[in-house]
Amino acid sequence: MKKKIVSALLIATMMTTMFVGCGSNGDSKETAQSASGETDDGVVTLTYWGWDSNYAWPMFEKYEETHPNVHFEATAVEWGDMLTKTQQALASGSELPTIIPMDVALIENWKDMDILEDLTDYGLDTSEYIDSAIEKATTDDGRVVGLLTCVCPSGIAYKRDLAKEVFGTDDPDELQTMFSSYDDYIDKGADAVADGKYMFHSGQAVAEWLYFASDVATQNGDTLNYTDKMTDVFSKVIAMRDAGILDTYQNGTAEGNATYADDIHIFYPCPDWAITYYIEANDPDGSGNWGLIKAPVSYSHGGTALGISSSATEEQKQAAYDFIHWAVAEQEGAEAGRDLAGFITTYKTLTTDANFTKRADEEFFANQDISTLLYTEIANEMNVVDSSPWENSMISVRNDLAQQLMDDKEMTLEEALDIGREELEQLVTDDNITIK
Amino acid sequence: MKTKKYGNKYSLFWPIFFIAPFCIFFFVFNLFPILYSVYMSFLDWNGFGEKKFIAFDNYVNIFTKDTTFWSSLLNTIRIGVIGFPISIALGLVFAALLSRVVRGRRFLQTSNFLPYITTPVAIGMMFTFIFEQHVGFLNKIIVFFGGDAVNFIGSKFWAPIVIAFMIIWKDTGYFIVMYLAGITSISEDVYEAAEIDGANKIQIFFNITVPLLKHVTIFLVITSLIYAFQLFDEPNLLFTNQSSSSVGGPGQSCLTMVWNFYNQAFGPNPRIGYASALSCVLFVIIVIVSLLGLRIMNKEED
Repeated sequence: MKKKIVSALLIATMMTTMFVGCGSNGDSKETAQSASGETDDGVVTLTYWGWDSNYAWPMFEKYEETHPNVHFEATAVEWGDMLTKTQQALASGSELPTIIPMDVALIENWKDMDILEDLTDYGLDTSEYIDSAIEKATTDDGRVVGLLTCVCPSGIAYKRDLAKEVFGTDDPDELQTMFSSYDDYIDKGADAVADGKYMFHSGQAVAEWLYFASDVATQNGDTLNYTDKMTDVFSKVIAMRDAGILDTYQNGTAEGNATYADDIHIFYPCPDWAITYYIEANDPDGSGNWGLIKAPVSYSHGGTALGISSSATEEQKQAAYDFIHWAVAEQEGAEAGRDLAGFITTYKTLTTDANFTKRADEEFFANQDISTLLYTEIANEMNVVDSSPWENSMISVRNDLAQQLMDDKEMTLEEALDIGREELEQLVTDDNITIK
Repeated sequence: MKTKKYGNKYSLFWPIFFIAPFCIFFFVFNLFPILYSVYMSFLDWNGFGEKKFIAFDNYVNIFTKDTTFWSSLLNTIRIGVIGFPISIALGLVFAALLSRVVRGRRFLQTSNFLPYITTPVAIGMMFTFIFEQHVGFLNKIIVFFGGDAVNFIGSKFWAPIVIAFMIIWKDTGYFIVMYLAGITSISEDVYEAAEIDGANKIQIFFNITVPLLKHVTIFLVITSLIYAFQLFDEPNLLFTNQSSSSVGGPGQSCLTMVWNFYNQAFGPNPRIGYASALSCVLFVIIVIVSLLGLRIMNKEED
């Protein structure tokens, strides 16, 4: 009998241990939550997956301070994993986050998933936001599934000491005149090469800049404009490579980022968010040594749109919309976004307000008025091209071609285009798409 | 009465009760996913949209249209063929040498095994710092001796070799441990007899150690073959970053079969049905290659 009791206890322990792993991983500190997403004490919990811890996390904290009825549960997800994780959750029937951040380069893929609420149902007035931002997040059937948190105008940043050493001036106006076309970078680049400098640290970074500055749409209807787009990009990259003004760092790597603080590389393509995320982060001692000019063609690069998952409860959806509206269209939230992450909202009233768009970090740029340059001059004339559902495949091919062109200095444009086409044909798996 | 007693003592209940958890877990977490993958391989499905039954179309496409499948197979074989034979051979040699070491043997064993338990993310970063063109340790040495820095990670020629080197670095320690365990089981009498017969160290190694470790070698070759066809972490970590990622590394030279599968299944334009078919084909390839390897090595023994 005694043995039986011991056996039974052991079995019970074993089974309990086995099933513990299958149990909920709920935090005991969390209060009980109903199916509506609202807890017993009236607090609505909003879940979030995302990569931008510099922006999202502090914004949530700030919002919770003034909105005690809202609680955020944020989970860090790598930028590159965000779409995949959501697709997997959808395929497995798992719960999606209430608020979904979408990189604009992949926004067409997000639209295809059909999991997002139309924000106009919650009172979004599209006329109050920058047209291009609304267009980016609007589906073919007219639903606005996201709100862009920043304008993302892009220019070309430079190191003042190197510019003065090589070109004889660090004045942004003079340099703007000096570098008003792509050919100027090639021609004047000879001076940099003679001084043992490079104009840019990475062929990939330049290809990325030219890709977003190109006015060739990635896709028209069912046709991917591969040849036109890549010719536009890589004819310039090859000309710069052959002039010896591009170094061979891989863009975005730790080694590449370290060049921001060196005394060899002069120029960097620079969306407004890169000022905080790249320049100030990688060259903390470089305050006062940076300048900014317009690119030959003003362009927009990057940006994140916030959307609301259709699977959330009505209370959660409304609370999520209230937060998104606060973050983008209300003075307090937009100011927080500007001060925390350098994001300038897409809300017209604020974007056109010179007091609001005045960046706090102009000292880093030797007190140059980069705010007016970015948010008035560049933003008003910048080129915004529609994304394609195959944007990521095009970008993958672009990155690889740039890398190969920098590795094989003899590779011609035609050879590069052939290699890229072969890769793209394998990546684009929809038979209805024609690669032109 | 006897039957009843027998029935009580050897009741089927308890065996089933104890085996049931394993069977249930095996069915739910192993067998069902495998069978479901086979089912999905007959579908045109992106993972969240409408499922469309297309019978064997995915398999037909793999073998007739998909050149990436063949190039990824070739890449996988190329990397595996460079990496694993060297790694196994080094494992055998180092194990033979270590078995004769008396002082510091444990330290040497442990230090050789450390790479095997290092997380792949750390390995990816470490190898970037070794092979990077501008700041890489190896290129610093090359430049120091008057050579030109080589773009190891950005070149479609060198990149697969770097991956193979990662395999060698990581797995040699594991092979050493396995071979050391095998060497320990070889009787000292055999070595003594060989020495009395006048055999030198090299003859002993090739005529005693290597043949008597054949079973370990067979095990390592088969498991390495399986591992080689599942290669994913190393190339993916080396060539994936937010700003300059490209599927398959430079010129897709490091696009392995599993990376291709991963990209098809979980890329921005997912094709779960097609990826399932790829995984089934990969499964069949691994089974065939493993059986072939087993048969060839056993044949030599016969």
